[in-house]
Amino acid sequence: MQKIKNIDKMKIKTIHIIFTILFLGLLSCTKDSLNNAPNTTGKGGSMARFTIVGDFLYIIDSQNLKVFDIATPSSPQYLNDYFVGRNIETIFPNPPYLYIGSASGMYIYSITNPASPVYISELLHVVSCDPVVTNDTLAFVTLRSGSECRTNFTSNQLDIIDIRNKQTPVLLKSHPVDEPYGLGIDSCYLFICHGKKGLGVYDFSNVYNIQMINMIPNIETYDVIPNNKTLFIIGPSGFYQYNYANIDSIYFVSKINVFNR
Amino acid sequence: MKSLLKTLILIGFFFQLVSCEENKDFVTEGYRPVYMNHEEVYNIHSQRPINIINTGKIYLYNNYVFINERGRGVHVINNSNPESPQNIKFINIPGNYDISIRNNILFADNVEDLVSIDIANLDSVIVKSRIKNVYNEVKQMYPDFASGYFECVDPSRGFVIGWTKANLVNPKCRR
Repeated sequence: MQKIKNIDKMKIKTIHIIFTILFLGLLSCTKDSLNNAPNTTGKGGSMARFTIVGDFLYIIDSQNLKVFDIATPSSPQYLNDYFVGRNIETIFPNPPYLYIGSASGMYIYSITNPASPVYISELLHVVSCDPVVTNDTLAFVTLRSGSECRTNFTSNQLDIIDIRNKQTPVLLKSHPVDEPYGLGIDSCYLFICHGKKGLGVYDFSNVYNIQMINMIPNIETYDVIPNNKTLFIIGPSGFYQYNYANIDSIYFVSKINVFNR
Repeated sequence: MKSLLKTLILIGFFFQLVSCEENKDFVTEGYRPVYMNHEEVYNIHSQRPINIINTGKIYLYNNYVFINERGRGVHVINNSNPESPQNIKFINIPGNYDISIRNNILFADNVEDLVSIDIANLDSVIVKSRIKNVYNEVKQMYPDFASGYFECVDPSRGFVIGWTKANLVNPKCRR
């Protein structure tokens, strides 16, 4: 009898482990890369305040989301204006949702009806500078301290947010990171600009234990766009391209210098 | 001659001490608006490439990379050969920080307005439409990236297209 009980316990444990693994698997990442629609719309970075989804242009000012119909791009029609919150900074599209970063949190809007975005939810955090990027299940927000971010907040971190349920985003984990600026995402990798420290490459296959797997030092970085295995990086001293076809051996492709630096 | 100079310096120093006690100027680091006159704001055109100085955001479109020159416009980089990207044009858009492109139409903030610009021919870009006052006045009235002191905006001097760090004497504006 005792034996059977033990076996049952083990079974339950195993089931638990399997479920945990499944759960983590669901949360992490897929190998499909994002935002690579091969059409005639371009691609911006995580610091952008403009974004195009289909026939609509969405822009933000410091408080509002504004929608334009650009079905005829040469004559855009101003449709509407939505109050989002104070000090909003960045907009990131992952249709049918828009993710808006503000100094105090992240907002999720649905664009199922693209002409009329609908507020879904928000997740507030300490006041800081905070661009956001997402895949379908996770949002990544970097929080930077510093006076230009209007905050006395003194730490720098990467917040990872479970967004499987768009109504109730849940903060899963905060990782301390060096002074983060813009960031980019491709499959299981995150690319984070660390200002003067360079650009960090992170593997988030396990969201609870993100690993920095590479670092491009000696360049000052402000924003990054990963696209077709090339990192497009901008900083105060230049525009850089790096190839990351092999994530373990990222290599320099080219640089355009900034004048007088 | 030398001693005369010394005496003068001493006297000057003395007076300065006195004046300081009577009327202490408050000098602090802050931001001063950079103005552009109202006509200049509508001057959107493409021109020879210029040096990249104040890098802003980047935007990818086909084989091109657009690099924002903060408050001035965008550099157009031909990236057909990523090993040797070429700075080929500058599109002058006063007060510009953000762009987006679809079907060769570039959308840009132009101080308070949203403009759409046909860039099919980079030698001669054409403004196709302008939606006025898309941005509220807030963008104009204070440096939205910083807190602290700044020189108050005088709208009669034109549009504010940017802010520079400066030592301010008795600034009256703060946020």
